[in-house]
Amino acid sequence: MKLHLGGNLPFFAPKRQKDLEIPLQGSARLSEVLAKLGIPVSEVYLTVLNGEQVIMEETRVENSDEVRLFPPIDGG
Amino acid sequence: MYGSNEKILRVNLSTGLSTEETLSEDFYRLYPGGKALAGYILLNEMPAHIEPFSPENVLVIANGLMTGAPVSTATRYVVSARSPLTMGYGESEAAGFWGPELKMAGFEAIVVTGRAEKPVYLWIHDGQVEIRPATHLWGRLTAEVQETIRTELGDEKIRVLQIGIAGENLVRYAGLTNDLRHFNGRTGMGAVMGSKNLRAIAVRGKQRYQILAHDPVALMALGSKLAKGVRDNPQSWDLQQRGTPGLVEPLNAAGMLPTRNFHQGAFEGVDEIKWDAYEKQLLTARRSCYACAVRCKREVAIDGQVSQYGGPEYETVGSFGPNCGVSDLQAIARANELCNAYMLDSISTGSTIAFAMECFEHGLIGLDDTDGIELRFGNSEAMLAMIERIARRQGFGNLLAEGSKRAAEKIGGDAHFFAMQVKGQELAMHEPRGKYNVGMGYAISEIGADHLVVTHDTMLVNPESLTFKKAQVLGIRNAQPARSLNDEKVEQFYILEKWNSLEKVIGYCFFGPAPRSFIQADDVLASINAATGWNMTLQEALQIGERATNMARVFNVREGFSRKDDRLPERMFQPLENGALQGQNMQHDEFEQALTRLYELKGWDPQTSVPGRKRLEELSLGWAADLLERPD
Repeated sequence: MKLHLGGNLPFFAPKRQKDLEIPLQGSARLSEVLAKLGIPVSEVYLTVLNGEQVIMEETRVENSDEVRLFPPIDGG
Repeated sequence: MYGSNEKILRVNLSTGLSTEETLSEDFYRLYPGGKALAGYILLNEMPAHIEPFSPENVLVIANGLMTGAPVSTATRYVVSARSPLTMGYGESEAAGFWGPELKMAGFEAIVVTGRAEKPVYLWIHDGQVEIRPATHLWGRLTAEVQETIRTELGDEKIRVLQIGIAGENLVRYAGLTNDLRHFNGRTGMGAVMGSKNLRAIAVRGKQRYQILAHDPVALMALGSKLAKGVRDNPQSWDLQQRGTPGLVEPLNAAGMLPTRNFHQGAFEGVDEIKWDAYEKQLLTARRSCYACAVRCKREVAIDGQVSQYGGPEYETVGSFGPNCGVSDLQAIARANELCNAYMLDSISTGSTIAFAMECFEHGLIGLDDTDGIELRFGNSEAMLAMIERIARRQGFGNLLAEGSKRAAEKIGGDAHFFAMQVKGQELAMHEPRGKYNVGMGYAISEIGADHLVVTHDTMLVNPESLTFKKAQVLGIRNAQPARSLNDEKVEQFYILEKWNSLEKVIGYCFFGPAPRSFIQADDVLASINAATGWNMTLQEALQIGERATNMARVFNVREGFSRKDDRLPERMFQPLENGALQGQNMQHDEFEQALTRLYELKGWDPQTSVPGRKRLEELSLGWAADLLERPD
């Protein structure tokens, strides 16, 4: 599974990287995949699966999927 | 008194005389600099209805209590006067090195009155002030002026605060810059300074803040702890890594990137202007402000040449990029340079050009009006060509130099629907239809549309998030949706406005305190107490913020502003045309109900927005209540 971490989410990635490749066997709950990586779902504002906006808690993913995550944004 | 030089410098440009005034501790505890000091001076030293470009307009440049402290993000000063853009309370903050240098030179603030006969600049160094001729500087770009001043005064370390050609030409949204890369952009304060024939204020000082502090050891230990913590916090880490240009992609994904004059919320050209592109094509270095470990400033090269003016921040990328339909990153960087060289507010400039583009697309103006320039969305050359015309008030630029509200009045017809402004000041590049409290902030702010009134709604949507947890100490109770103005959202607005206002008083940058960033509320209070020994509580701190906002409101009431001016452009009540929030808009009745509720929380008359005497007296502003009752 391809995972792109937008905004400041790379802060939480194992090596603070913004793009990860995660091999998956069968399907898994996205929230569990993120928990294993140490990425807190509470910091995610928007979840995009294969180009479509989805609800994190309801989302299952497979090896061929592309996920993009974005945090909430304040002003600057 | 600790934490302060206790001295204000007063300069009368008509007489050429300057004097010093000493602040008392009792006074300073109520009005500890910045927005509070400016509001107090403007209300007490200016009657209502002063013409903004007349010598009677009072220009206040005020450090905050903490400005120059050895603490990251304690760097800001305020510039304030009656605004030629809104005709109300004008104010803009900036950081960099100039404010701390003024403090080191021995002054908390400068109050400029009158008008010089010929162009001048001020030279302030270690308690001394000189008024020096600036005829040789007038009409020149900001980089040249800074270099010339440093050379003629013989010190490369002099900090220069200046207006540009735009301010000389009284463009209504002309700003000020220090070090060519920190900007007091909004509300046209540069034009006020230009109307006084004051081109620059050069400062050099050697006295460190630590000498002023009540407990310098504690203050420095706190500063050291906070500096080490920058990379351990996701907000401040990201400000260092990406900086504000990092906002482009997430805002676009969420459907909240203002595109084509706020028609849309997602931009098809986003990949060409997002952080990855900026980093590859423009970025040369990351830079900081005085004593700040966040290092959020970007340095850039444009078409391979290093820029003297620093790189575009998010607001500039937004206003010259998607909001004008432009996806050419080099053109956006060039627009940033031009704004900084002429010293125009990049938000109002980009937004006024976008307004003109929409007028052109609708046939309200044509090539005869625009000096033959095809002012269409996406035409980056047209966009760049307008910037210099605006700064020099040449051709069509002379109309646009008046701001989108006045330009719309002149053009007539449907043009006013295309002016994205509140009270005459253009909206910043944040979409209210995705964040309703940001919308409320645009509507209610005394300076016109301002995106830095409250923490943005999206940061407080998830009760498990770090930012929400840090907001709870301020009194934020339950997480609420971003697109709501229910009672609890309004309550959150009321609290957060006080906290942001406090920052504008004591000189903290928005990228310092929580919930927006990494400095906990406790540490903000600890810094105040290490500086002053006051043992200030959170309640007193929030009152300082509320007091400052109320003075700005009283100023506006005196100028005839009322509830009817606390509104949003009609487009905010029309659906977004694309993106993740396609079809979403605000609702008039929800907005009006929330506004009434907010006035009630503030102790203001719900019909008129006039602050009630009771609340004013609770805020030690009984004298302001007296002012309101006095006949004009």
